[in-house]
Amino acid sequence: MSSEGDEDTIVCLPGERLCRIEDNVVLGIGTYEQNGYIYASKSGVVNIEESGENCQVVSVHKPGFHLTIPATGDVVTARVLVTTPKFAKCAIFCVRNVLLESSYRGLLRKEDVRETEKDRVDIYKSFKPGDVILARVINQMEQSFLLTTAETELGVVVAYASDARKTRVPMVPVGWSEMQCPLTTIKEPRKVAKVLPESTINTINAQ
Amino acid sequence: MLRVTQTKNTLLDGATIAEDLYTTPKDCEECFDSLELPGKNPTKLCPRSTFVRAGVLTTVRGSAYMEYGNTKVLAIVAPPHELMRASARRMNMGVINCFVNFAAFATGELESVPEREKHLGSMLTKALEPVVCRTEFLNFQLDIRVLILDDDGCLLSTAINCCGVALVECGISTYDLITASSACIYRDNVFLNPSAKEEELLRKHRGGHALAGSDNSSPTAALQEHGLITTASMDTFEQVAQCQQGGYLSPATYVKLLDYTLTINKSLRQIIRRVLTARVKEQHELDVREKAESALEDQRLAEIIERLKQQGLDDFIQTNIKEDPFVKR
Repeated sequence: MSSEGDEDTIVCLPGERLCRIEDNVVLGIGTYEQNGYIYASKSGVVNIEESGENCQVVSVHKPGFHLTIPATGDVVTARVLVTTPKFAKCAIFCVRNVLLESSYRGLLRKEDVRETEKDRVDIYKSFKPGDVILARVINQMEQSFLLTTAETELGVVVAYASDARKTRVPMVPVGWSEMQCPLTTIKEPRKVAKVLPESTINTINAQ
Repeated sequence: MLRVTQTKNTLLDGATIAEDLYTTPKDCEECFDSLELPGKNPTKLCPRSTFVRAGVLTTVRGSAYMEYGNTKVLAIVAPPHELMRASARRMNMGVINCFVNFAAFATGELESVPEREKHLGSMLTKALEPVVCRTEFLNFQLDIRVLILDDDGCLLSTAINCCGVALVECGISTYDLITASSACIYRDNVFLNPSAKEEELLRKHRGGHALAGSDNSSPTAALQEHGLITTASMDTFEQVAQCQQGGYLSPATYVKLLDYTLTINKSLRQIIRRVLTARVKEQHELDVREKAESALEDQRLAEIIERLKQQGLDDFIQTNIKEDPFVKR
């Protein structure tokens, strides 16, 4: 059924049978199983990867645009919209390293702000509307994603001092719970993220 | 003082507006006679000239345009977003919403447009629900917008075909490709891919029946088979996604019409497959080229870094200072 391309690329369309299900064949992205066979569910190029212990992952890679939806465990970048005593509402605009076209709603509860002393967390002393935060998705609720910043690497990345000024200079972190404006030297409490290079976050993710 | 000088619009005055294509004349008989009658068992599938293209709009990710004869349809699929209505969230699957809109110039009669839009939207939703892997976007809703630019019959089937292409183009997981077509029977004549005229005749016939039945003037006509069926099918597993039927059909006729539509679906599937395969190849080539370019860029940067390491910082800066050609001495 599949048509051969120039350099050994196999183009497939949804509903095309790719191969039989065997013990050492794993379903990847863009495939589904039916009646003991693996079928493609997206249009794209068939990719067969070896992944240790003679196990093969069959997946379909769609060239061009990728549809990204935040999944549980993903690190996302979000902007805080509203803060209340119990939670902060955010707009997720970036998943891993993919910029989204439309933002998704995120909810950061008071209990998930930090790891220790959960009962003493004050949302107002952790986030302000307009902050850009790094967070991890822990659950998908009915109308929003549940986020957590209970890790040292997660929290506020970019924040501006709350007194309205024309020069918007981002504050500089001074300590794990405070940020300072370089112009006015005002200190404000935040849940500061210890920003790491992306490679280290990925290794933490894998563990 | 303002003086209005009326200039003659030569173009408009000279041209004659063509007879309205898609409205039936009052006299059904006359109109029926003007049609080409295919008979009870049509031998040819009277294929319409078909044009499908994926990715017609650059602003939206999943878009498709389809021409099926004179019927012209544009479909847009937006990436899924959170549920809007609270009532829809009780389902444990993704929700599909279809919005159909007629362009103002698409149809002659404007009165029935809102009703038809609503009806087509719900039929389209029902047809697309079995195709999309709805478990993949739990608690999300997928909005599909369809704009009808011209209506010459087979509206629902063309919209389904077009949406199927747009879904694949957007990268939404689907179990299969979906194709649809319609057929109708009227006065012992089987019309495949009925045009707007034939559909209108059928509608008039049905409307006339209610009146005729009341005074029992034409009991034989009431028993005459008439009706329209639209079938959407997924051919990998020989499944029928949707089968809509209106009118009065005997089981034998029903099966016959169903077979006709399924055959047309198969031929349409070939066209859509060809279009989508070409599209994937095109995008794959673009991807490969992009990758090659970025690799070249990486290589260039790596070379510069290498040079920096060899020369040391100060030397490197000195050798790389270039004179600004725009600065005058």
